[in-house]
Order: sequence, then structure tokens, then C-alpha cells
Amino acid sequence: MHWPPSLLILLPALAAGQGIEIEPLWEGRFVAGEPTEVEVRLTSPQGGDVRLRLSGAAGSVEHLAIAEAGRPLAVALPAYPGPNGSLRVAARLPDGTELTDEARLLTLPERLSASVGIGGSQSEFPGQGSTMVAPEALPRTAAGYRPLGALSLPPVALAQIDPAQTRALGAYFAGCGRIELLDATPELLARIRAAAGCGGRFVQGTGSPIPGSPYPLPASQGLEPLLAAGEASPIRALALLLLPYPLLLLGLSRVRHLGPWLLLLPPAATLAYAAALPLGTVPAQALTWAEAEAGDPSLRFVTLLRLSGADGGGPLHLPQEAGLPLPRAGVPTRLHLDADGGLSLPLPEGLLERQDHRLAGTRPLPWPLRLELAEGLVRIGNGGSGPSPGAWLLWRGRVYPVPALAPGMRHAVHAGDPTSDLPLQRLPVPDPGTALLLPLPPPAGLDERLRWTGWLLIRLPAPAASGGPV
Amino acid sequence: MSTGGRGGEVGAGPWRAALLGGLLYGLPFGVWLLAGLEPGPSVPDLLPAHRALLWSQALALVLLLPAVAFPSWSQGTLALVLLQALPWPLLALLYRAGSVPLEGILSAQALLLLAAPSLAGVWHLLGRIAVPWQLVARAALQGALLLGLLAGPGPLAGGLGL
Repeated sequence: MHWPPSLLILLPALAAGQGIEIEPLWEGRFVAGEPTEVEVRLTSPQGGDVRLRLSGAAGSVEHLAIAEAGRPLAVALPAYPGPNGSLRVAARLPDGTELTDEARLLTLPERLSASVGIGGSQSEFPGQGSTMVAPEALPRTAAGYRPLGALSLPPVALAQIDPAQTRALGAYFAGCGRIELLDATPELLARIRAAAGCGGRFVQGTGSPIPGSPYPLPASQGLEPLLAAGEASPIRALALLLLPYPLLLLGLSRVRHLGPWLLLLPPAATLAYAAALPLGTVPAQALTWAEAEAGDPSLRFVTLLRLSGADGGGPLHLPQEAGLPLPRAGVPTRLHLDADGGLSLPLPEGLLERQDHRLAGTRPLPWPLRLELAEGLVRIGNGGSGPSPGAWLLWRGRVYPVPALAPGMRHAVHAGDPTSDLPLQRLPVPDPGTALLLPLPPPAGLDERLRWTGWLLIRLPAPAASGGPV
Repeated sequence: MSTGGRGGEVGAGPWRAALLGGLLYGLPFGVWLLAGLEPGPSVPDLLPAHRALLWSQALALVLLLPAVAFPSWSQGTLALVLLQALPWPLLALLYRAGSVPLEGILSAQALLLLAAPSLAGVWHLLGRIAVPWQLVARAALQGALLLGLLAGPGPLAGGLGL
């Protein structure tokens, strides 16, 4: 189906925003309910800090960029357009000038197929769900790949992209993104497959069919019970915190000599409670569910992040490795993109007010564990340079404990070995097959106010794996 | 103020009564507030609990006006102020919950604190009227205040700007 170009409305810079423009990715197309990426371009007559705010109905992103006087500035930002696709950027230049621009993206019902063309070739809207871009137009953030269902590119394009594009493309590879490498040599194909997630089966050569999708990661509803299981009741904590006051009043009522000094008690207790009330409640909790296939160099994850207003402090800082916040149904996402690629999320203001965020991303696998299925046994080997933690092997519907493995060590689990209980109430994914479940350490640089729990499932791919359930 | 022996007991009487009275009406509100503090995506609506607490504070003030002279005007009035102030830690909880703005809490409590000595003063002045009319005047004052309160916490809260 062809969409007439007139339907792709990219508003030109408004009269008020002559010096700023929004350049969307993928010819202005995105998938509803997903973030995307836009490039904000401006030129400031004066050097210094430029405050950017990119707003869409599904969320807003703030960023502090540094402009050089008279030189064009281009900043790639994650964007959260709403169902109507409209975006607005506002920039405050070092001299106080405010610039604005607006754009309207085209919402697609399903993910886009993109081809990378060399020589600046552009598609002529060959179809609603496909586009052709030049290598320099590839995304620079993980958000830019969210609208994509498949990417077709020649290996020569890999040499024409900048480091930020390489990192974003690497994350797409690691996240089991579907890629067709045009005219790639078998050696190059093998190297890229080895670096990709899901055993590299979503990276194919010219004309080879690409499997549908990787095993889906759990939705927020699947992670909710696991997060709640480790959650202490904040009401109970508050009740325990408040209890000493009536007990003190009761005790004082039995004191023989009472007097006007009692008038100091209520204000003192009020001030003490106002200062101490966050005690016993947790300002931020995160539960990460990560998956990889045996032999993968990286894992892909989804995190349910729960923020509460218990802290009363500043925003919560998350490193880039913590993932990209996905749009939330009905509640706009609000975040600040730090200069190092990390994020700051504002905490709610009311005590016990709660906000849930869902983040997704990829990370290097902390332990390159090998998993082999043999006749009546499963062999697990640690091929890394550091020890792996104790784990649980899920095999034939049973759970077997696996000890911590030193580098180079191997362990075999036989069908008759003693079993153990699952460390979780239940798995958030159906039928993991033969898999290893391990506790996942948090990414470095996490805000110390965040209570973090992570689980990693390393799956043994089925012999004729074709992508698993879609 | 007497100290020791029976005199000490008498001197501590209004303070003890204020402590127990504060507990009596403060505890239910504590339970109400905690029950309304269910964690969720939005700020809990605890404004009704705050209004009811103000109403209870005002009611306690009106009902205990006849006791302000015991054992002395100053002690009785201060004990009445203590009774008003005892549930304040619950207001800290209300404020941190984000349900009621700080200005609303402070202005309402300031008005109540001013009302306690003012009404005690009026009660004292009415005591200077000759006996048959003194009873009438005090009963009229208390009755009028009670009628105002019985109109409900809504008008009271409205009067306090909440």
C-alpha cells in the first residue's frame, strides 16, 4: 500500500523558530506506543549552554547541550510522540532567546522495514511500512531503532557511520534486531552473528529469510508480582513510625507532675515526623528480567521501575545501561537526558504516590556461560574470566541447583540429581525450555536510592530454532 | 499551680484530661489517614479526613469551654490549646502525602489556636455578668457555636478557607 506524500506532514520551521528545526528519522514515520528519535538542529549566535525540551503527547525529554558560537548544533534525542504524532521542541539559547519548532510524524500500525542506501538515495514512499535512508541518517540512540522491524544494509555502510550510530546499531544487533546484510561475505556474516543476540539467527545474508521475532520479554504485568513480592508494606512502616507518639501520650498521662511544658510536645513531634516520615519507605525499586541465549555476548532486558514520593529528594539518576524508558499508557513520561547518555527521572511528590516506568535495553553478558544438552545431562561451563554466581537449571520441568563456577570450571547436571525450589514465586515467561536462571547484578553507576533486583535467563536454543514464539 | 500531694494531682488534672482527650479523638483520625494512604499513581484524597479533624478540634474546643477555669484560667486555657495541638503529627503525615497544601494546614491550625484563648477570654468575660444572665449568655454562646459546628465540617472548612 502506498501512502501519498501529502499524508506525511512535516511542518516546516515556524516563523517563531527560524533558527531551529526537528529532523525526524525514517522519513517521519514511527510506531504508535513506541519512542523514536529526532535530530534537533539549531545555530546559536553565542556559545554556551542550550536548554532543549522535546515534547510529545506520550512524554517529554529535556537535555542540556553545549553550543559553539555560530556553529550548527545537531542533537539526537529520544522522542515520545502521541497517537497524533505531533512533537514540539523548545530551545533556550545562551543569550536567552527562545526558539521553537513543531513536526508531525506519521503513525504506522506496524513496525517499519528500512534499507540503507549508499549515495544519498531516498525512497519514494514505496510502501507504508518501508523506507530507504542514507547511512548518515541511521539512529544515534536506541530509541531510533524502536520503530524498526527489519533493517537491510550493505556492510560498506558500517564504515560510514559515526561512533554514536555504531553504538546504537550495536544495541540493535544485541537486542536481536532483524538485519539483512547485503552481499556480505560468509566470514563477515559469521563475525556479526557472533556479536549479535539470539545466537545471531536474526542476522541473515542477502535473500535469506529472517525469522519472525525473538522470545518476547515479559510485559509490566508479568513483572509486577515479582516486584511486589520483595516490597515491604509502606503502610505498616508508617504505622510503626507513628505508633510511639500515642504511646508516649499514654505514658505521660500517668505521670504525676504535668504542666505547660507539655505544649512543646506536639510541635516537636510534628517536626520530627515531618523530617522522619520517608523512613521505612523505598523511593525507587526496580526489577529487571533479562534474557540471552547460550553463547550470546549480550543480554536484552526489560525493567519495571517503580518510583515513589517517599524520598522528597532530587530526581533519580540512571546510567545509560539502565535502558530506555518506554511510553506509559495514559501517563506522559518525563525525563532528562544527561550529557553522559544517562537519564534523570523526577520522583513523585506525594508520600506513597507511585509511578511505574518500563525500561528496555541491552547489556554485555556478565558471564559467558556455556550450556550444552547431552544424553541425559546438561553441561554448564564458565568460559569467562570471573566466577559466575550460583544458578538454577530449568530442565524438563524441574529445577536443579547449579553451584557458583570459577573461570574455566564445568558442572554437569543429571536427570536424577536432587532438585530445588525456584527462587521466584513464578517465572514471568511461559515455557522457558532448558535454561539457566541467575541473579543479575545491577549496572554500574546506579543511584544508591534505587533498590534493584535482577534475574537473567540464559536459554538453550531449540535444535532447529526458528525464532521461538512470536 | 500546686505541686505535690493532692494539690499536684489537681494541677495535673487539665493536662491529663487534654492528653487523654487528644488520644481519644486523634487515634481514629490516625487510623483513617493510614487507611487512606494506599500507594497508587495519584495523590490520595485525604481532604475529607482533614476537614473532619478540624471539625473535631473545633468541637472539642466548644464542648470544653466550661472547663477553662479549672484549676485556673491560664492553665485551663493552655490545656485547651494542648488538646488542639496534640494531633499535629498527623498533619505532618497529611502534608507529606501531598493531599493538603501546607498553607491550608497552617492557616487552619493558626485560626484554631487563636480561637482557643479568644473564646476562653469571652467565656471569662461572660462570667462577670450577674448570675442568672451569666448562665444565659454562656449557654447562648456555646449553643451558637455548637449550631455552627453541627451544620457540618463543610461550612467550617469553608470558613477556614479549605
